Amino acid sequence: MNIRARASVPALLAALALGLTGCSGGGAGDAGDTITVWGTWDMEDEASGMAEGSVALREMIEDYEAETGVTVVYEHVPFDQLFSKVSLAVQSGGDVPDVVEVASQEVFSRPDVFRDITAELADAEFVAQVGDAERASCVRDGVRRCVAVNIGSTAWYYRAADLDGVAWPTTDAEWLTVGEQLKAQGKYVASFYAGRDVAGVEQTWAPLIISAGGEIFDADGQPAWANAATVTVVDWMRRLLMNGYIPETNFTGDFAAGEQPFIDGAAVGLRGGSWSAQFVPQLSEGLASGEVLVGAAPSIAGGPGHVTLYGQGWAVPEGAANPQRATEFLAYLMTPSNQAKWAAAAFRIPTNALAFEDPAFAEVYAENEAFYSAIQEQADTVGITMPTSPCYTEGLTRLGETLQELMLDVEADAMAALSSVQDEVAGSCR
Amino acid sequence: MTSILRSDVAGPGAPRARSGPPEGRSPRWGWITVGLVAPAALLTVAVQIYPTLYSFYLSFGTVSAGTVTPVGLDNYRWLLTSARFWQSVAVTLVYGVAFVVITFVLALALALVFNTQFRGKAFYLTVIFVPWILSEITSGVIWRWMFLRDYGFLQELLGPLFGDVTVLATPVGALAVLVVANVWKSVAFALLLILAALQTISREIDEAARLDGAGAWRRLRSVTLPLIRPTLTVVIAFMAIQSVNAIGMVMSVTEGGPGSSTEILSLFMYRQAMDFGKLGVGSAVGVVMFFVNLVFALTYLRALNRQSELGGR
Amino acid sequence: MSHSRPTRTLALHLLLGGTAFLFIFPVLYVVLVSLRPSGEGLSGGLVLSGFDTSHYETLLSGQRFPRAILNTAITAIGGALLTVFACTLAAYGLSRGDATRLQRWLLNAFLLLMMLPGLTNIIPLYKLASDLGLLNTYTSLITTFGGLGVPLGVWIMKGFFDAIPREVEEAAAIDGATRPQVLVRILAPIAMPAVLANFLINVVYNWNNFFLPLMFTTQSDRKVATVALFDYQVAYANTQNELVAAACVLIMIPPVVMFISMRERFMAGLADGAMKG
Repeated sequence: MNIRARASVPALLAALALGLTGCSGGGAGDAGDTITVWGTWDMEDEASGMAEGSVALREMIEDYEAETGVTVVYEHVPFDQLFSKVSLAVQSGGDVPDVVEVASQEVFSRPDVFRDITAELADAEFVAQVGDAERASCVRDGVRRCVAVNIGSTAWYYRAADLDGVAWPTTDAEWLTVGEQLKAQGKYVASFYAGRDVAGVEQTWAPLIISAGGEIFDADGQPAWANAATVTVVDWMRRLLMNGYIPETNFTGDFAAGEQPFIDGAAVGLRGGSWSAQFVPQLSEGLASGEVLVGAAPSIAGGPGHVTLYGQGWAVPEGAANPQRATEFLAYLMTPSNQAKWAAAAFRIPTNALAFEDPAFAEVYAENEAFYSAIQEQADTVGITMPTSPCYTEGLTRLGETLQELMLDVEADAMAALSSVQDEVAGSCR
Repeated sequence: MTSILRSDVAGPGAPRARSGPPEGRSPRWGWITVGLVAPAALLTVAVQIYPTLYSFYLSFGTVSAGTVTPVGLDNYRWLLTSARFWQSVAVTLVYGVAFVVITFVLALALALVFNTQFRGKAFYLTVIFVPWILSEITSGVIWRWMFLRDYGFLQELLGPLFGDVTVLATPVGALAVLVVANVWKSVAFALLLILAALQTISREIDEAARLDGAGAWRRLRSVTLPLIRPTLTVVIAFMAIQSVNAIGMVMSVTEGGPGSSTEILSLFMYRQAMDFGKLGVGSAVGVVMFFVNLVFALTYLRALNRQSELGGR
Repeated sequence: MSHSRPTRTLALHLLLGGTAFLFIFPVLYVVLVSLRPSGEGLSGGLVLSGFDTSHYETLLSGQRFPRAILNTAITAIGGALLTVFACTLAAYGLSRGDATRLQRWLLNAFLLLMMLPGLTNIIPLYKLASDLGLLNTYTSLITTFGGLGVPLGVWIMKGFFDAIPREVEEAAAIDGATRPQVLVRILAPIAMPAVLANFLINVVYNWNNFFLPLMFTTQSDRKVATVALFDYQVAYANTQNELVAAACVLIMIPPVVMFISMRERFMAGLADGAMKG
């Protein structure tokens, strides 16, 4: 035993030495002409709904490499890990990528993680070409921290045929009456994801709370969700759930569980997003043929029915090895032709006005005009962006958990629960 | 008779009465000992001691962009006034006790059964061992599937028994599933340790006791169990540690839900540090966990050492 | 002896059989799901509706999964070797050394270390690894795995070394054997079952380890199998559960096979743990 062990010591030391001299691959090699990009698109995916987007992204990267001679090292990181991995890397001074795919509200929830790129991109072409929505999502207080290639918004879809003589409900009261009618036919009004995490709150609860006149964070970013509006929304949701107008899996399941009843036909409507066509089979065909329509978001207590807007795009983390090349890459992704290519492949709406005229996208737009114009109109008129806060993630997570608990235990005192969690999060919100 | 009962019968873990270097060794033996222990010690310092100390340091500060800003006891103060922290502590206690008790009883019972003679022992043992061989994420995926609403057959089976409830959507149900899943996974290891200890008990002692007229139950209580007490103690210690660190299953099966009702302490710590970016607070929780574990560990160490003194020279 | 032996044996086998079935059936379930045709996934309860092995082909013919398995193998075995090496030396020293007070202190320290919440260490470990430029390398994982297995391993090994009476070494020494010869010819064979058991336990723990590799690797070609499974689970939730199930089964196979084939040694090692005094 000992002899064998002794023989392995030199081998071990050798391996250690090799590792330490950096035979590790990846990371900042020659910082001059290499950038590392982290994205949620899986380059090896050929089958899923996201495949076309991955292909488009790969092509854009290859073209960029050919044009500029810069080497782009792309790493696929799943969407639920990406943000925390980047944050961890920046916080602990680890291996920081040069470019990261982001959603705009994430960027501003942790501004210390993302670089101020206002100066580098001040003269970029796209700046004049993008609309207000892009600026609203990626520029706050004059500081730009990301570029938004498209604006995503939540959307309510429904199958017209299933509504058998009834109109799509647009107010809280209508939801209850229509709910009763659909229940008689054995259907739910809608399935949606209202789970106990940040996304659930951002996509479902927040627009409703704001519609009812409430707020989630106040002007200083402190938790402020314990208000009458939130309680109103909770009560309304409870009524829907208790009467069986919406399935329980909306609150207990994951994203897929929020879509499944609609896919199966058990639910007439779906609260998804402008991105849903990639995840819900047959949705884009349905939209093109008019079988599926975009409906208005529910209005609570008389306020407008809102949709949540996200800027979906890219940013440069603090501590990136090659910020210069990184911002050049961002500008490249924002050109009209690339935006058009991307929007067509990933079924998204470009932020660059000139992209609409680009043939790559114009055709797709024409085929789906009803969908696009409906989404855009909603984004323009009733779109809201999430507020920023130093405790954004913790706040929304705890709020989401509390809301889920309130839905599962319908007798619980909503205001008390909301206040208690609000106070708790506020205690370390700085 | 007395000499047999008092002989150094031991399973792994109870120090032998006569350890120490063989006679006639060279005076450099002391240095050799140090040299022998060095690699293990080095690894341990690098991988366990240094990080723990660093966590202590982090727990007194706020971490942002790689720099640590000292904030004294603020993190701890926040923890002590945080309702969710205390809820997490309570859940961990309930879960821990349930897990340890059930695993221990099951493992002991099975070990006693396996300690008898019959055919096919190896087969049964292997089968019971398989869950231990699985990764926590694999097991988590499977258990989650079995309890999915509308698809999971265990959900279909058990839901109707309790008024068509979604098991994982109730705090009690979710915790119960976690306990069961973790017991399922861990019994084999405890079983093996106890079995090994049982098998080191000389047949003669058992025979002697039986000839003395002691019935099966009496033999168990007064002879067998006391003899393997050190191993039993260590098994309980292991299970206790596992329950505190059991983050993998929780993450895959319930993710702390419903609400935050199954957010055991390890998950609470992970979320504070990774999801919410509060490395300082997360480290503070880790420090608290460390001290709790320390208390367990010291208690068991004392029990172990006392046992060795009793059984000893 | 006992009355009605056949009944008793039957009852025993029923009991054990039932218990064994309870333990194994989630595994059978996931195998079942992995063999279902695409799209059927979890629906249909426990019915064996098909025998479609295409998911396995998809996984194994792709690039990513085989690579992930390779990475897992390298880091798991490497880490276990490191642990066994360090533990065996240390246990021998602690068992046979003459600095008894130091020894006891060290032993207690190791026992204590087993009880540290491993999670707290992830952040500092991550920082250490990235400061040394060791992220996305095998070295960082192997070293960390190696270190994590030390406390338990030392404890197991020391128990076995203690169980070997000094007389055995003394007799060999009297017969003229030098210390290294004693170690190799006498102690090694006796301790081998324990060494193997230690090795096996560590390989299994390392193979199944999830969080550490998740933190330490971002590059796809360095990911280990458990992390790859996690990715699949997220990406294919409810769309291709059969694929996820197949991945589960594939990840399960090596440790199970290892365990079954080395089972006798493993159990013999534990069972022969101590020799009578």
